[in-house]
Amino acid sequence: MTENTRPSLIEKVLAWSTFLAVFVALYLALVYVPTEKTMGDVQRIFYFHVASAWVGMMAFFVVFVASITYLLTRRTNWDIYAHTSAEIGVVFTTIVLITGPIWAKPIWNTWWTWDPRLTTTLILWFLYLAYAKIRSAIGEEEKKARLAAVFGILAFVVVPIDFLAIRWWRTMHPGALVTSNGIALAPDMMLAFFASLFAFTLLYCYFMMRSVRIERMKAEIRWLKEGMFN
Amino acid sequence: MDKLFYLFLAYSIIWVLIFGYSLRLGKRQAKLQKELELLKEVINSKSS
Amino acid sequence: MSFLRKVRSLLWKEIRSELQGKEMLSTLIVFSLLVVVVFGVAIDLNKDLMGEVLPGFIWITMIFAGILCLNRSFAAEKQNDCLYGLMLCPLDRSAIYVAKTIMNLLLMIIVEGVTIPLFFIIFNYPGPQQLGMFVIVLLLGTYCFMAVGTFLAALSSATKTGEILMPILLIPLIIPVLLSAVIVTKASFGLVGSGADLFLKILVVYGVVFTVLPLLLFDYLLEV
Repeated sequence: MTENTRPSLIEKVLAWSTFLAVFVALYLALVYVPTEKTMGDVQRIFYFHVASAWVGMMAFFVVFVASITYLLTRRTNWDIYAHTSAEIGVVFTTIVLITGPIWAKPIWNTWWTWDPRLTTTLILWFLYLAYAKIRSAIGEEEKKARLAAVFGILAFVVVPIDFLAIRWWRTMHPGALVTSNGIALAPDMMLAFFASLFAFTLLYCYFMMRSVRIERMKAEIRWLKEGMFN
Repeated sequence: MDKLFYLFLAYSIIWVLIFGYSLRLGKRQAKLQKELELLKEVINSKSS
Repeated sequence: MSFLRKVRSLLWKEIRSELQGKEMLSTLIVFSLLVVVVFGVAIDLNKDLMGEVLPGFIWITMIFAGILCLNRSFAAEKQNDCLYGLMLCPLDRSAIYVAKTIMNLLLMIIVEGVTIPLFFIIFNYPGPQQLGMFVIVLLLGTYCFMAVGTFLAALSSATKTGEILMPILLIPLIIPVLLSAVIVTKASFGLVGSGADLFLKILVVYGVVFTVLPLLLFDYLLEV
């Protein structure tokens, strides 16, 4: 099981295209796109804020699918996909939660608005943390994977219910909306928007690839160590 | 505070988090790589 | 039919062990009463504002009491590895889940019956205008809470950190229940114009989803 631990061609291609895509997106968002009328340049935060939110949700969906597949097949690969995606998801969700208030403050003069999407993301963040806490609270690998997978399924299912409830709640008490609702998206803005979405999705894939490789290395080390003591 | 400052703040935080996580992955990988090579050396020297 | 019988016998076992000491119920009631007093001492509002926050107080108190109650439900089995004993019985394991959920629900209903009237007394607030809606939301909300909570209590009892972990898992998952229950409770006080029945529907949907899912997944928790 001595894998070749040098990065494969796919990994190199992914790394470089991610790098490129991020720079293109940065250029589009910061330079190419015209300044928004009502909000000014601060609005440029929006592109990577929403891109991060999208990746955060997508990562959680991967956790959901991987958890189900793990429970059905019991192949550890799926557990690896689940918890690596969870860790990456925390990073991006944290970005959303920090950039949201930074965007809101200069525009609506308040740090936290109970914006439905932002609030749902906050709960998502806590769900991610809960998932991590389950894993850290269990020693045996199999139990860890199984219990975390069960929670991963429950946690993902609650998110749409959450979003609906919070959205209806906020329509009763309208506040500042940290979304794109007030922004007319001109075509060049759409371009920047999709570019950042694409760049961050690639970034997610790149992080996944590296994390999975790290897990495989850990597995090999464990395997080698077991072999040594036999 | 000037509005542009907020823009700068947001982008720097994004950058710090992403770059920081990337660095963390890199360090993990390097550490595991070292351990892996060490183990392989030990095994090779044992078998020979 | 035999599934129901298994549930009934398990439930009877739970009730009997509680009746023997009545420790849990009395402790829960005393705790909830204390929380009411804590709220009363810490927060001093005139009557108009009181209505806005009272639903929140009630549900926060129920969450705290509920967490205590849920921690108990698998704590006894963890000692002496009784859980393994249960698993060895030729049972459909989800019967354990159903029995414990019902037990927790019963306990919480008793606690609520004692504590909630006290809220109205201490805060000198008139009773809810729509009593029926109030009772319904109490039952529904508590059920949703116990359905998810019993499952998570089982999950966390299998971990090292155990009881401390349970609230961390529970609270993010029951945010929609808390939100909806508070709004519907407010509506039963007559303080909400319209749209409250939407939140009742959310509670029902949540209740269904988080009964079915735990039933399906409970077996995975108890594997040896």
